[in-house]
Amino acid sequence: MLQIDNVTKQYGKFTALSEIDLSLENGVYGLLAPNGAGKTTLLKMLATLLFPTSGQIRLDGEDIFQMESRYREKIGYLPQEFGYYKNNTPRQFLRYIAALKGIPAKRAKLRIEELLETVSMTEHGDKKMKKFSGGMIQRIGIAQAMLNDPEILILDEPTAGLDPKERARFRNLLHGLAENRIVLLSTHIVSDVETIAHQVILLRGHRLHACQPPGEICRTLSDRVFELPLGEALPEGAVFLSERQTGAGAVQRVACETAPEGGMPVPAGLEDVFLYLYREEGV
Amino acid sequence: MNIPMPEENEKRAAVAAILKEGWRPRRMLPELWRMLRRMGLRYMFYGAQDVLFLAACGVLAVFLLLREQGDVAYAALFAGAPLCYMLFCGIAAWKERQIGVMQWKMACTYDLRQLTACRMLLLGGLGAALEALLGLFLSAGTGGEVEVLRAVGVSLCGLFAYGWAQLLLLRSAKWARNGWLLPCAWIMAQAALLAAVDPRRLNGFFVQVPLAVLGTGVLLLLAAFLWALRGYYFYGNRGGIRFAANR
Repeated sequence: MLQIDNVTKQYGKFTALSEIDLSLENGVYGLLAPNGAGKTTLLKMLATLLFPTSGQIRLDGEDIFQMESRYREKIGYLPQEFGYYKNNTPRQFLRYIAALKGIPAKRAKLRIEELLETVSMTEHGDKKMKKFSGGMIQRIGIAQAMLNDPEILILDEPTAGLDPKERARFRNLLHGLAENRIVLLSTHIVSDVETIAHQVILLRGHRLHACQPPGEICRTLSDRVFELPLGEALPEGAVFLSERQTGAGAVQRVACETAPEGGMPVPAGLEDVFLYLYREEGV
Repeated sequence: MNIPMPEENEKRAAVAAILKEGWRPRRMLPELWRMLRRMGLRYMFYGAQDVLFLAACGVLAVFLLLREQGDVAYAALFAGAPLCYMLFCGIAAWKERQIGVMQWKMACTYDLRQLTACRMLLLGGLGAALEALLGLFLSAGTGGEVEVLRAVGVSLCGLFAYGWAQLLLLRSAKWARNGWLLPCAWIMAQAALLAAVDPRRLNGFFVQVPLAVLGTGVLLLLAAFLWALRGYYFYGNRGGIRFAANR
């Protein structure tokens, strides 16, 4: 179990994260919050790139910073901005990272082939990475994070910049990788996590707002989300969430306590909750 | 207030970790040696072969300049001894930041701090070997005016003094973030010294220092360098990003 105990991170007077308490077991955790909420800060602390200002992070009772390389042996990390050597092929690049992860050469070779197969990059294994698209680079990024078969997989906005097809491919990939490990995935794109996350972690005001299954989070707005034709005036107190196109024309989704005139109640989705929760933060 | 007590398996794991770490003191050199054997020399400077080449060119340029300047050779050797080390550290770190590989490297089993410590040792050794060669060539090139042992001693003093200063700065997150400060400070200090004191007089000082004293200076600075390296290796940089890559 990965235990985050009352963790705070401050940069001078600015508090990036305040008193975060989480217990993570095997499964997929979607860390969902708008930009600047502290997602990357939390993930960097879990990847030991940053130290908490106060509080502790423990793996099976042991402080991860005291564990040093023993902890890093158990993690795979894909940062938000994943750098690579452009003139390397994936095989060369992954062999290097395998060396940095202390994986013996023979085992690394087998593992690299397995992972290239998993991320559907076998046929591109000997091509220079400078010719790859963003989606292909991200797949190599996932492969490098998985090289040491980590117990904890930390992915920081792995779908940023990917087209819808690549994002769907990525979700399918994660389904397969999520068995028997903790997967922590940060995003501000709701659709990335709503179908694959066992629990969604919401940050608000640099604090933990919720850590619950998506269904329970959606229930916080149950019976309060309505659709009405776009352009209709909103009743007082209603919060505009989003708009979408239907066969009958464009509609707007709103959140309010009572049904607006002409409004049709709809089940609240994770995106509705996200937009409602962060409405004051310029989302 | 309920204080959650650790579970049995957590207690056992914590005790086992303490015993494992507590009974056997960690030793930097054996750990670095094991890391080097596991990784291989090939991957120690991976992605920085071009930088090593540039640094070696810098050293060659220094040799070509000094070939005709036997009467200021020692002063120039002291000032320029860390050149290869400085160039490599600065350019490699800059390159890695530009490419954006530092973050995932920091999360690998052998993290950047361990890699940097190993690189510093290897670069120190490489630097020492280069200084020895340079001393030999200079001695040959100046017809014996430059003594080999003295040249090597002076340049090793400069190299280890710079390495020591760099490691002391790396203990502070604030200074570590500004990796360009020490090279600039070194260059400015040497330039100021050479401007204030006639290089030939400074050279004369190095000529007059007995070899035994020079040798002792080398050993003391080497010890200081290794002590600072050990401090850097084991205590890192708390409170900030534990980046290294020779910053």
